[in-house]
Parts: sequence; C-alpha cells; structure tokens
Amino acid sequence: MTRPALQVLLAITLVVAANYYWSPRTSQTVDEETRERQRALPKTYIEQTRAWSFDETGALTDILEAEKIEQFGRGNVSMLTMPKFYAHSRDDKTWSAVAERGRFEDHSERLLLRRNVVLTHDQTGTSMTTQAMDIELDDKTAIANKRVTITQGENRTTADGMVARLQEETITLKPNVESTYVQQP
Amino acid sequence: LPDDREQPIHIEADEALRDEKQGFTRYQGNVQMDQGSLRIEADQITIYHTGEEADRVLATGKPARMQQQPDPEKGLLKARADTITYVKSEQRVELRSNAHIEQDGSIVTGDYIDYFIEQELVKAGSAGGENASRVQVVIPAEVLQDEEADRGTTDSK
Repeated sequence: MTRPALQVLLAITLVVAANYYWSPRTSQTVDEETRERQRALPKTYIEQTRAWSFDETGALTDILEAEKIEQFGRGNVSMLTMPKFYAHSRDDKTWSAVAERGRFEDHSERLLLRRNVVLTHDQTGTSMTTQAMDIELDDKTAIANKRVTITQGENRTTADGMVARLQEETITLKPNVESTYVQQP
Repeated sequence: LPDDREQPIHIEADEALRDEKQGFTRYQGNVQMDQGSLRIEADQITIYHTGEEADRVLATGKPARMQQQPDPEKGLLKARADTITYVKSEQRVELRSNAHIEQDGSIVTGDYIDYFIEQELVKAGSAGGENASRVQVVIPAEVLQDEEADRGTTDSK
C-alpha cells in the first residue's frame, strides 16, 4: 500500500477515535448527576386528594385520601402524606385506617402505612394501633409484624403481630398475646 | 375472694383470634386467665364480649383447670373438667365432662358440676345413660367431726 494511502487511513482512524472519545460539554448537555436528580423527583404532585375504587359490579370497595401524593415514574410508586383509607366489606361494614406516612405500590396493589397507624372497625369501635401496617388491597388483609395494641372501650389486648381480614371481620394475633378486660360497674 | 368479680380479667396466650362480627376472642396456646384469686388454665379460652362487657368465658382442655380462694378463712378451691364455663354476671361456674371439684379435702366428682361462687354451693349430677358416671362425694373425717362439734355447741346453747 503506497505511503500517501497509509497516511490518509491513519488520519481517518484518528478522526473517528477523536469523535468517539471526545464529548464536548455544552450548556445543553445534562450531566449524570443532574439526570439522577431529575429521576428522583416526583413526576406528579397532587394535593388534598381522594380516590375511589369500585369492584366489577360497581360496588364501592375502598376510598384513599391523602393531604399530598407524590407519584414517581420509577417503580410506579406514590408517596402519601397523612393518608386515610376506608375499606367497605360486603355487608356495609367499614374499616378505616390513618397514618402519618404511606406508600402506594400500584403494581402489587399494596398500601404501606407507617408511623402512628390506627386501623378501626367502625361499627364495633375496636381500634388497632401500631407503627407499621401493610394493607393488601386485593384480598383485603392488613398485616402488622410489630407490636400492636387493640382497644375496645377500656378492654385492651397487645401482641407482637397481627393479621386483620377485613371482609371476614376477624383479627388474628400472635405471638405473645396479653388481654385485659375491665369490669363494668 | 369476695371482690374477685370486680377485678379486671387478665389473659395471656400464644395466639388469639378476635371475631368482630360475632363478638368473641379465642385464645390458644398456654392460655392462662386470672381475675383476682380466680385462675383458669386451659388449652383454649374463648371470651364472649358483647359490646365491651366480657361476660362469658369458655375454657376447654385435657382437662381445663380452675382454682379460686372464695373465702379468706377457707382453703383453695380447685376444679377441673374437659369444659369449664364461667358466667361472670351470675358468678356461676359450669364444669362439664369429667368434672372434679375439691376444697380442704372434700371432693365431689360427676359428669357435670355447677358451682355457685357467692353461695359457695356445689350441684353435681350424672349425665344418665350407659356410660354415665355416678356422683361421688368424699368428706374427710375431721371435717365431719368439726361440723358435729359445731352442731353440738349450737344444741347446748
């Protein structure tokens, strides 16, 4: 191969290499840190929200309220501030749950409630307080793996775990169950 | 003790199921219930709480056991049966199936025993039928002599 051809080939190789490695920073280009920060920001803010859910027959199944909802693209998750949740069981019995923080996972249909969580059976007045409770919206169960305190009037029960089946209106408690029933005068 | 019925009922167990619709809580696993001097130990205890008042307690076990100090001057009363029902409002304890109750050496056994706490009265019976067991009562001699002595002093007055 003649000398000039070699020189041309070399020049082309250098230009291609330079083009590949050199990415000029202009004011328009977003650096990785900024892109990461953008991705961490919520996609949508909604304030004073209320969402209703209905089943296939059109019956109201639950209502979710929150002072603020921040929806994030990544993971399809919404962070809730002061969430309130109302579940309707078949024969119009309702449970209501409140907390300071919540997280709604759309893909798994779960509502995770954190900090001063109170679940109440509205008809009997029984209330359960704990610091973390996960509500499975599909099968209407509320699960707590932390200390839970159940009160009804002056009667009180504590345990280190709980599963409330909202439709059946039953609460399974274990382990370490302790109850006190105060006598009415 | 006389004021047992005013004391709170305390229950400890491994596990419990609370049914809001039917108004009961069922305790299982090393279950122990205390109300003043009354104590019940059983495999399973169910408390029926209509509204907030816990009125009826059903204990089952092999057997379920109960003890109480009904009178400070008398000995501990102990009872056992396959099923013990305590009806708080009536201060009545029902012992069903293999019922046994004893105090200060006096023993009563039978198919069923009803114990009326305030009157300190025991009613025992047999379920009847082929494999029913007859009521048996054992009263120690010294208890008999004490009663006769009491009766003697009252006659001579």
